[in-house]
Amino acid sequence: MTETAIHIAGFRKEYPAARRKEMRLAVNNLDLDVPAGGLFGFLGPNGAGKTTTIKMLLGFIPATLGDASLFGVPVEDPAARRAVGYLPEQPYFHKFLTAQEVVAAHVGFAGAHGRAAKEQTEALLRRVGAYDYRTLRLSKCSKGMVQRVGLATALAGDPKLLIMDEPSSGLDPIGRKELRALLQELKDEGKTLFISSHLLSEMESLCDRVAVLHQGELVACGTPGEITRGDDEIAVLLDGLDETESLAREIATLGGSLARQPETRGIRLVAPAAALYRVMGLLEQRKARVISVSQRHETLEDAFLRLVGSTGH
Amino acid sequence: MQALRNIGIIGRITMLEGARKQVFHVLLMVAVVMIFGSTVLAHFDDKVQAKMLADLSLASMFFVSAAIAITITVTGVPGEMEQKTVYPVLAKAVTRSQFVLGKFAGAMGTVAIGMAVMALAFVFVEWWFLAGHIDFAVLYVVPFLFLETAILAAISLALSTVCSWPLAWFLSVIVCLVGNVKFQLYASLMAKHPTPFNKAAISGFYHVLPSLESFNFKDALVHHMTVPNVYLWQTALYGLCYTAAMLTLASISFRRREL
Ligand SMILES: Nc1ncnc2c1ncn2[C@@H]1O[C@H](COP(=O)(O)OP(=O)(O)OP(=O)(O)O)[C@@H](O)[C@H]1O
Ligand SMILES: [Mg+2]
Repeated sequence: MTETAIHIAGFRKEYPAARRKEMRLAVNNLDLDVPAGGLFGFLGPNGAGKTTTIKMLLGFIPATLGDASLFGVPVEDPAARRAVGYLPEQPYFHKFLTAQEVVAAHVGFAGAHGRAAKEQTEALLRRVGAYDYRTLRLSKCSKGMVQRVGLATALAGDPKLLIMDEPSSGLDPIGRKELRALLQELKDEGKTLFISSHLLSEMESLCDRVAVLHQGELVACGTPGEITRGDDEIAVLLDGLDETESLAREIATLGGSLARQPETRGIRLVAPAAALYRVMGLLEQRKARVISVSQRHETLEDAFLRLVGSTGH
Repeated sequence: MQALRNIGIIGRITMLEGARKQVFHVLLMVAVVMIFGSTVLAHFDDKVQAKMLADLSLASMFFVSAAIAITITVTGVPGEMEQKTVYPVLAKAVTRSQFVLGKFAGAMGTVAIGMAVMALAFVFVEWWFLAGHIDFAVLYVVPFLFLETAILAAISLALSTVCSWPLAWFLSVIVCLVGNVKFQLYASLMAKHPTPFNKAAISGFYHVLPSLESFNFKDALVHHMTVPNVYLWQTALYGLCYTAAMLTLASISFRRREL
């Protein structure tokens, strides 16, 4: 049995709302176990409560109810954070300091000093690609540059567990590619990565497990394969049909759906793959002009939209 | 050991930041200009008067040190919370008390540098305008000024963990002013025969507010009086205890904050 890196039991967080006496529920009844090793994607739309959960995990805010532990140490104990690296949502650092000074400070917090600290600082700056501007003050760095420095501070002290809140925000496509490579590298080193994100297409290939949070509640948890619908679907594109009502009804009985695409004046039909020939039969009866037929597997993004509703509410 | 190192690192960051902010350069320049300028004001009978020179220089030294200390401590914790710079620091195994103490250490380090510069300017001015005369009483007057500043810094740090920084700044300035006239104020209020309730309130405030006046050995320096050693030790002990108590309060209240 593998070790548990993060254990959350019955987390609940209420924030005082604008009006007094009323409370605003940010996280409700959250139970989560993150095994050690691998990348855990913590997904959810804006305002789902991801950052709030992370803040409770790091002891920044107390949970209204429930408790949590990191590698078996309760989060109230500062020692729980000894093996943790954290990248905040939008990393902010002292504007008057340089990348090198900030990273050196964090290497110091992690317990290194003297020559070793200097070497570690340099290695971290190189690893995240911030070495070239290490002596530039952070107020003069771009967002992506600061994000890299944030990554370096999170990696200081070689933590076993990395908690990252939207690590790819602010990075350009090249930066994102590099980040993915870095995350893969960290995974291969056996670290546990707990990453909150809503950039699902990016996370899908990296995640070993995902949890989907919606309005403060856990709506799904498991491997990406478990969360996405196992059975494949077919998508058929049709040229304009005059009458779609009866077709839509019949398709619905087969477990599919029909949607007009206003931009192309075409119709998109989605149905379970097993119903392919029956769907084609129906289309033949109506002499519909088929533009394309394709098979598709539900992506994490589709599953996410299905779980939280396409509006996010 | 790691605790001390963490405090040291936070202190160093605070000092680096302080040293790079132009406000402090300006404040320090103001102090040096005032010390040199006091030679003009202290110009009587075609001679620079040692008394007035010392009086004005030490007064400006105290006010600039107090301004630096209050500004750094009052904006330190709320500023870091606002700019969210506390998160990466506290996410490491740094405790909140270490953070508060580090901020205090950084503020006092900055004050120490500023005071050293001002003390040197003062000694130089004395030596230059008073024909080689240097009063070695500076050696204990300045450390006591430093201790007085430490009390103020600890108070404003404690205040900044419970209220917004402008309010904390305002209250700190009030404490600084009232603490310096506490004895007279107490005597004059008590002379008005207050009701028993008011009397209790007044003496309550009297005991809670720091006796900043006790740290002011300016007059002793000006009038060449010798201060008894026992009194010096008592004052130093009082200052250290008061500072320690305030820092304890500050870290307790910061530990309870939601970030
Ligand atoms: N300090 C606070 N006071 C009051 N309400 C808050 C506070 N912080 C967050 N909230 C509320 O809690 C809810 C969850 O916010 P949270 O920041 O955890 O979302 P998130 O999942 O991180 O979203 P995003 O993807 O936009 O970062 C939101 O409705 C937000 O308004
Ligand atoms: Mg967030």
